[in-house]
Amino acid sequence: MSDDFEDLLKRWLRDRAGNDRSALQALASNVAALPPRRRRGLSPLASAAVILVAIALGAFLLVPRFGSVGGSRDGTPMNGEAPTWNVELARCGASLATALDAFPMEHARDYRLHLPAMLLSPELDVDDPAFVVVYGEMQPFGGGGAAPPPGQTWAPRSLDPGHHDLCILVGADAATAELNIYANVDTTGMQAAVASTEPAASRVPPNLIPMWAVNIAGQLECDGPVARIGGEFPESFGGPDTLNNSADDALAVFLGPSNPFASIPTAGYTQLHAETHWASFAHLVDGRPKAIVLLTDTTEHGPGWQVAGLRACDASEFDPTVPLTFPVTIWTDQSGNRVSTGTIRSMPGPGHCGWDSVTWLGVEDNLYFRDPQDVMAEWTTTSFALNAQLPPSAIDSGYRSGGGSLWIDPGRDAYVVSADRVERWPRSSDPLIACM
Amino acid sequence: MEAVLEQSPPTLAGLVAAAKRGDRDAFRELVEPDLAAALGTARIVTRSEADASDAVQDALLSAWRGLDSLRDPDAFRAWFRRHVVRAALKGAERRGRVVELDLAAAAPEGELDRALDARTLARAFDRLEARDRLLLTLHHFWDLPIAETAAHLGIPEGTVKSRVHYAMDRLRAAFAAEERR
Repeated sequence: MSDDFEDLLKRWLRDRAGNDRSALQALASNVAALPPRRRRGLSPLASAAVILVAIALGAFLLVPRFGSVGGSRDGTPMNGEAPTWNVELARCGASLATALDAFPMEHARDYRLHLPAMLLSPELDVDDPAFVVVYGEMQPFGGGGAAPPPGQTWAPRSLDPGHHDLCILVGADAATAELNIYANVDTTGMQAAVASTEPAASRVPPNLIPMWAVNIAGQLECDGPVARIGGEFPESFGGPDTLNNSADDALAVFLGPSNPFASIPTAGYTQLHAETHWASFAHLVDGRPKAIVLLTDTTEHGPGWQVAGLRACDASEFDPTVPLTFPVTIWTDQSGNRVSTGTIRSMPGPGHCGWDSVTWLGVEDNLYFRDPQDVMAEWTTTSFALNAQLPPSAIDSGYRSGGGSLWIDPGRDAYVVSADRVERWPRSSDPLIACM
Repeated sequence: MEAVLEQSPPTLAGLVAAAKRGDRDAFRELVEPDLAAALGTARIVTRSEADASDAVQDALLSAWRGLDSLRDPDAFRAWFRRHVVRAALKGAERRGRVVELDLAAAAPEGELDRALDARTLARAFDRLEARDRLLLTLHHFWDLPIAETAAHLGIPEGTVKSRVHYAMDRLRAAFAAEERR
């Protein structure tokens, strides 16, 4: 059984992975359209340093060891010319052989100009000059930038593609500058030289992320679990085309027709917090936050307000009078209490597959269709009936919606019983059916 | 008499060096042998033709941009696969996407039993979490050694063995459930 099953799996994987030749050719030809590569070797300054060190090393080998060498103890030439960065590299535990790149920053706060994909690092939001070392391999200090406890070693780890460990020294004097080690930083778009280091007011990175912006899920007051939609700052919710002039405008656009998140209220938001560069709005029910949207005007996409965080309770906890961004129907129990959409929910079928005439009803792990046009016939063994006979094996589920009560014939179909008729909603043979 | 200069085929190291200098043809030569497996794997993991194509495109771009981080040219293949794995998982976890199970493709004419098994397996396989799908693909389709699978997934080798075991158990259970339908 085991071998047969594995063989079946292997055959199926080969079948499933089989490729259309034209798709492969299209991908291969896309290689020609890749953007020009920007070599990530040593920056010009660091390259100059390589030459200077080579000269210094040559000089060192040629002069008597205890003679008068024209340099300081740290190896920096005394002639006032370009520095060698020896001190900076040494502080970072790197050398010209192990550093992939090294460059100074006029101000530490410019780090996102040099490293646009780096996550916000408030400790760098200072005016002091800084120096960046990009390690070719892992940073040498072990976990947390510190030596491991005696007798222990740090667990092995790996870098993600396009990511590197960094050392950033903050301070004018490299010997005493504050040492910051960053692991697995996305170095996409890194540039040693940037056009301007004087930030415009509208583009300044946030000096500090306000405490209230850090964990918006923690500010929700849900009766059930927090819904698995959205994310915390710095979650990306759009590109440069979704920037707006104000937080209110950005919120309105976000809640508009193109909202990608099903089941959040389209209106009824109250401002929770506001300060320079940051704002948050909450959908309140009896004064309790049930959905929170965080906005900022300092995203990597440039000046303009944009949603930067969204967390919400289950849609059943929202104000029932406010429409949702996607028309999910909330069912109630026999006492009229709204039931979590994790248990039961119904919604229109996806229009882009031509299934918008269908109502999809999900009850726990089962899927049923109200399908008057029989467009889902491929996935059902019975069909929708407007006036059906309720089978004796059907059981009242206790769920109610719009004057109808839901009965389930276990393993078979669902029946919606109202005052004037019994509708049969066929069960899908595949509860995971979806539309590409 | 004309001198004929015999050119030896480019080495892997030579291709990687050329690609690092920005030579797209060299890069294409490097990735082309793995594109079919990459696209197939991405399709299995993302369960969507469009997402699979996007994932491989993302992998190509991130590998192209990240070539300088590849120290050992001989490791190019495994390194590129890592980009594919990462992009495929990212594609699978992309929010808000729903996918259609391509069952028709798994039912070749004249092989009814196999087609039925394949159809059942397709449903069972697609019930698995993306990481299980990836793990089984790496193990049973790419036939990767345990060590390389562990490197791709960033987990210890011993964990790979147990996860493959449990993923197969889950797949068998899902298959049995599908057969009972």
